[in-house]
Amino acid sequence: MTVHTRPVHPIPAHPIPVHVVTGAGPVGSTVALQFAKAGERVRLLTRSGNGPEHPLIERRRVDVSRADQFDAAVEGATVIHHCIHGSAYDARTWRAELPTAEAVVLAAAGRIGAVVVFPESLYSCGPVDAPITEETPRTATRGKLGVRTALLAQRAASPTPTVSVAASDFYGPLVRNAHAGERLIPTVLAGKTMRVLGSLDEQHSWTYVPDLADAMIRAAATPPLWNTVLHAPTTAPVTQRELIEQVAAVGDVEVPRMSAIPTWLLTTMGIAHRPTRELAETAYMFDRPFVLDSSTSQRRLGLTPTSLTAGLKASVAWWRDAPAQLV
Amino acid sequence: MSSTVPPTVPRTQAQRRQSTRSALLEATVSCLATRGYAATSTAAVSAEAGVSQGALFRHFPTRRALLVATAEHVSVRNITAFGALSDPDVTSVAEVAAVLGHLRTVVLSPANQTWRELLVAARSDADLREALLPARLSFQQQMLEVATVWWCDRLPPDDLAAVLSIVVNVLDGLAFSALDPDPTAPPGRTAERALTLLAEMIVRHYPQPESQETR
Repeated sequence: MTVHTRPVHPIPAHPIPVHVVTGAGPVGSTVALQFAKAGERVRLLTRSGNGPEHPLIERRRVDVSRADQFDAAVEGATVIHHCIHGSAYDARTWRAELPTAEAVVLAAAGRIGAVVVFPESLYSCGPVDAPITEETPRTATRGKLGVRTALLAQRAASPTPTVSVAASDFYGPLVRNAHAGERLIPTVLAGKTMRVLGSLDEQHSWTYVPDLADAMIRAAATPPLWNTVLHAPTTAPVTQRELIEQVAAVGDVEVPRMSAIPTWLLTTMGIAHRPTRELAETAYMFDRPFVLDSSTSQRRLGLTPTSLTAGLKASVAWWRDAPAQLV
Repeated sequence: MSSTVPPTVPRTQAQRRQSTRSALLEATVSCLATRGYAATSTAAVSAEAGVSQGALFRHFPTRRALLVATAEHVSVRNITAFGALSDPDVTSVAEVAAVLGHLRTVVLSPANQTWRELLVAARSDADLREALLPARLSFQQQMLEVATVWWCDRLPPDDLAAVLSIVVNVLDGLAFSALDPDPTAPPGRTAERALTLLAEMIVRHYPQPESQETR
């Protein structure tokens, strides 16, 4: 592979390439901040106009699912990092929102010759009995799992180049709404009883969001990796008990009391309570080993994961610094 | 009806089946609570549910099968209510008393009268006793597992099972002796004091942190 000797566009719309990021959740915000810290311009598109503040981050209020708004907002982009998530953790919401938005993004990117990078979950793999590799079938059909399978199929069917970078459960700065986010870190730091879902003693993979962001940025810049599903560099799995113990160690607090809410209880409670039912749908990830093997992708990307200790130090520091209203 | 009303989405066969089944279970709960075991016939239940007896027997082959399914249905409701406590703290006597107070509303609920009616009937009906056994064991085990989630390792497993047994038996006894307990009303002075004493007993059994031990 040689470096381009001439610009992709004969008359570039912008002298400096603009990276477009949609969504200002933990992934979109981290991707935007990583570009900005590297001195590159980012256009961050969200419905609210929110997102991290930085001189190189231009925040625009755009409804990504509306082609009329989106097409104008991506002018000059060579890469789109599509990081929006559903407005509720509910299969019906995902089905209503996500495929439409992705179709708009794929069509717009196709028109301007941009590659689209998607953060992806392991939902489409469904319950597994072995570590998940890039070759593991992504064919789950039910509920939210099925929506992710359909999204991958839509990307594969699109003529627009895409890369999907799959991660396990998130941890890291900015990560709130996750098993290792607001339910865990502030609880452990406060010395309160920690009740986890599933099991305390099964191996589980945790992906550091800055590692996912690095992988997305690297994948976008590496055309041979386009049109593949990659795994975000992810450190060796640990049990939820070990994770809690390490958070306590890093935060220099006592290891809290802990217990595990069994999956059957979530399922039972989910009969009458939809949000619990949605949570129960993915509880299988926590009551048996759930391991992401990222070794092949690490080689292809030339990246390695941040150590759990370093990642947890940054997470704990972020929670201790987070403004009170966010905690 | 005005023609501007949007048509409702037709329900699937499975949804209709589920809805009839739920109506029958709820009707059985209601019959057992208001009329008692003896008067809870399949005719009374199907009338209460607004379905034919034939429809009832398509879902439940016998009266006993209906009663056992109702017991399981109430168990799910009780477990859900007990599990719905959102991360309760059980460190102090007041916090434990609050959890026991919540358990009181679950045990005294009209729906839970189903279990008491069936247990009394099962005492002299070996077939019903045997049919109810799996649901009883599963219910007790599940309540114990929820209690384990709430209490973590503060009590040894055997003690936690014994504590749960004391609390539930006290509350069930209260339901028998009060005859018409209102779970939404605050407990009487004696009952409230009893729950506090139980809470004190529970907290006294917690392991003492080493740093607080004095010589």
